[in-house]
Amino acid sequence: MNEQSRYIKIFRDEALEHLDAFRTGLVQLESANEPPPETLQGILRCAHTIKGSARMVGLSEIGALAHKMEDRLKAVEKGEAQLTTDTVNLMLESADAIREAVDALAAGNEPADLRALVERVGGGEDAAPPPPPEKPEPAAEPPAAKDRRGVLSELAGILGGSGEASPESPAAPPAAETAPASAGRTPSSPPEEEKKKPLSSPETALTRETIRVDVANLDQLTDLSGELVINRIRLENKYFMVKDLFENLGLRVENRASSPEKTEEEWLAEIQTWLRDEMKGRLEELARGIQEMDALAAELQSLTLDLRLLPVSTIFDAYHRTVRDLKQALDKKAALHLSGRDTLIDKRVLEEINPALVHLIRNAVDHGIETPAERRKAGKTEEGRIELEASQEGGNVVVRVSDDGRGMDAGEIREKAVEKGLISREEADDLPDREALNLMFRYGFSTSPIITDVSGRGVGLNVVWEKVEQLKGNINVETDPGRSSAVSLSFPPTYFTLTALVVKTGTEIVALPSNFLAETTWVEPPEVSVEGGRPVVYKQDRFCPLIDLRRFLGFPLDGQPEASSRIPVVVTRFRNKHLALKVDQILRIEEEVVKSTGPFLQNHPFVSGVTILRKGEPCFILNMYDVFKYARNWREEAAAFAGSEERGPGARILVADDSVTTRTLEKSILENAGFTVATARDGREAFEIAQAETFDLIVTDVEMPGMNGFDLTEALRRDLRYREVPVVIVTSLAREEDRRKGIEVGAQAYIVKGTFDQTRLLDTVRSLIP
Amino acid sequence: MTPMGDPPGKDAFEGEGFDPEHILERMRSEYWQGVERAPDAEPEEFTTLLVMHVGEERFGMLVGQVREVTRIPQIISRVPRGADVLMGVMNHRGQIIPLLDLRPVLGVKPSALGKEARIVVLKGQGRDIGLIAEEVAGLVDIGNSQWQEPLSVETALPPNFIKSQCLYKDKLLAVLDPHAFFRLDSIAGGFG
Repeated sequence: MNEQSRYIKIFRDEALEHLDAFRTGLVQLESANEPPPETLQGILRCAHTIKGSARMVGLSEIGALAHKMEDRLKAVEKGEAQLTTDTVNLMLESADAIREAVDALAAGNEPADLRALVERVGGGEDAAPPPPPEKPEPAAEPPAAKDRRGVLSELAGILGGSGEASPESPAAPPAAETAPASAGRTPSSPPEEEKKKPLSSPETALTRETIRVDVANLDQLTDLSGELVINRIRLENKYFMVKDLFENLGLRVENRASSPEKTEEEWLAEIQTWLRDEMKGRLEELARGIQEMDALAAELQSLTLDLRLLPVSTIFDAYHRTVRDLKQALDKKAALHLSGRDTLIDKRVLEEINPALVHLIRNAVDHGIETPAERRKAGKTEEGRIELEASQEGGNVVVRVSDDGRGMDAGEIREKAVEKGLISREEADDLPDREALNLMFRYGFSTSPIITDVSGRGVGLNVVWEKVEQLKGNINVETDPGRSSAVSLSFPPTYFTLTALVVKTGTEIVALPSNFLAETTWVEPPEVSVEGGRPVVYKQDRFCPLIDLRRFLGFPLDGQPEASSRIPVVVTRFRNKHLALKVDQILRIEEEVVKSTGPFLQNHPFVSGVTILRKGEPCFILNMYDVFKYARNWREEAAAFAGSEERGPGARILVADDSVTTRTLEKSILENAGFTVATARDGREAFEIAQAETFDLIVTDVEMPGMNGFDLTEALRRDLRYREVPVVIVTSLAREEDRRKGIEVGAQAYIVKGTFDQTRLLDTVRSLIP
Repeated sequence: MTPMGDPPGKDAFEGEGFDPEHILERMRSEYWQGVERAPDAEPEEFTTLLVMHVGEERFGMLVGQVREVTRIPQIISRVPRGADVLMGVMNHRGQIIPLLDLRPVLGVKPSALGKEARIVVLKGQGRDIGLIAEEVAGLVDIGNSQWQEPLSVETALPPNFIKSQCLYKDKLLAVLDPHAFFRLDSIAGGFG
């Protein structure tokens, strides 16, 4: 790298920072009613600095543009001109143009011609891109190329010749077409190009290759490395102490012959005593040295990790621009409110999450916020509110994007998903509302009826999801239809550490990433009920499938299973779904340093990383995506939870259903499995038959004429003989409250007809009558 | 602490812990071994093999492919839904090393490992792996004339695990191909 291009790089870093501030300030200035004078002054300072620095490194065109920008804004400051939307647009366009020029220069390419833009900014002609340039449009004309050459030679001088070395040859088309980076920025570009521009990703400090470090941090680091060196010397001394001892021992062994009067035993005993005494002190010394080294290494690590942390404002501030450009393009009114701007995140993580956030914010403006007319109609303020909040929660960063727009309609989402062939009608009807929201994360889902530039390309939240997945993050959606919607992402702030819940399961200890935790709790066996043959517990306002983590992961039992009445359970949450995991012991929450598992276990299911616990034991960090994925088809033994008593084969079952088809079907399934079955046409009849005979289990429909299934269950529960007899409810009602009602009246299991199949009924019945 | 070079007798500290009795015992046997071995050095070129017992079989491994031999650590962490052949992982001075147990592949039911059991750490690119041996018999020198072809050694191991064979104590000894173990990752992952 030659001197000149080194200066260019330095200039680039500086310019980018000022351009960020410039853009952010400008958008603030525009949206505020009575902006404090400092805002405008800040922007002016940015333009001024860019101007000065550009001239310093010989980039006179950039300097000229910055100068004109400054002039234009000065006029506003003096009250000689108004800050119109067009002026702001022009300023933003100029800032973008400078950025691209600087980028091109830093990459050793030739930048676009800025002179036309300089004229526009200087000329005071506001709005429109200038009239079609005098130069004929077929841009391959030699005069244009010649013009460019003028600029080029200037730059070539700066770059020490690298400009000349660019791919452009006299025969090649002019720069405007060879350098895609500059396309759409030259005034001669067609208007469509201009329209697209606001939708480009906002530029932020992230694109910079350098990072700013607090001097205090650096001092600390320097001190620490000094201490490390000293400590290393100390350790080395201690090592030599042990080494001396070892050599001494060797000498003694070799000199065995010099004391022939001693028997082998005597000789050995003597050496042992000597060795023990000598060894003890030296070992203690060594241990202390290692402890010191440990402490230093830990401090060094945390300091180094901190260096990588940047405030989220690094990317957040640029979103004002995103919202501004988008609402203009869509004729909407919206304001972005930021909070938690100081939350710190690893630079690399910020880079990863940035596109996802841009996507969510665009979605909020495009899909969430209604048009001003619609909002008025709905009794809302014309201007929509988009909130972007970052916070630190239990070792994770939570970023929440919410809007007070139209919300998400679970029904509409179901319909869309069926229409797009993502799921079948039956599956859709079976999904509870909150889980239906998850369909939006699937590839190929997009609710926007027309394809626009903004969104609606069929990728939708899938893009967001992919990013979050890379970060091992979690995503959850909430909505209040008609009023608001929110998407929360939670992820570890760095790639290197992770806060996790450490649990014991069987013989093993594993770590569950804390951003997937909903609750840690205890469950008493009676709280466990069976639904569709699977054990469930009511936690977090819903029935969550309950899984024995030990069996699920294939670990052996640690000794005899304890007959404890309280089961430690970790309720986990992922994409609005819940899963309760039975563990043996909930140990603690702690911050773990994530180590790679190495190539051998890289793609192993359930393993997302590994950490080393206090005693040096490796502990796997569970891949929660796999846990949720595999849990879907995992057959948990319901009997393992329900303390059901032994019953012989050929148990007697009563089936109550008003549909003759269902009745017959269930009867034959159960009879084929060896049960004795009686049937009833409604609740009343079932109750009468149950009085006359004795049954070991009742299977009942909910909706029946006369006495319905809930009433039947309740009636049976009042009967002493049937107080403990399992009741399985088979129904087409998939609503959460119905399930709840079923459990409340005392049913043990609940099978939804949509998911009804032979095995499920049998599994359920068998789990209740072993 | 690299600048000091490999301290003499480093191995003695590694495997045995700091139990003076062990160190002493080891020193003595090494002392006598050196004395005994000196006379029978032959002019013939030879290759050194590490011989280990797994299941009911005996295998050799080129010593250049072995990083070190260590004791079975106190804690081996099992891999969630790990394949039978993947016994778990150990923390070996901060490096996480997967441990392979060949016994299931040999059709032998794994029983508890005895006092003689060792882990043979194989050098890998990027990451080492450990092979469980019920016993490490020691190092043997195999002269050039002892190598035999074609492969005819009797073993329950699949052929791709065997690199070559040689005559050792009048019997054929299968020499393992470490690459086969590093390729096992796909198998281990697929077992889940």
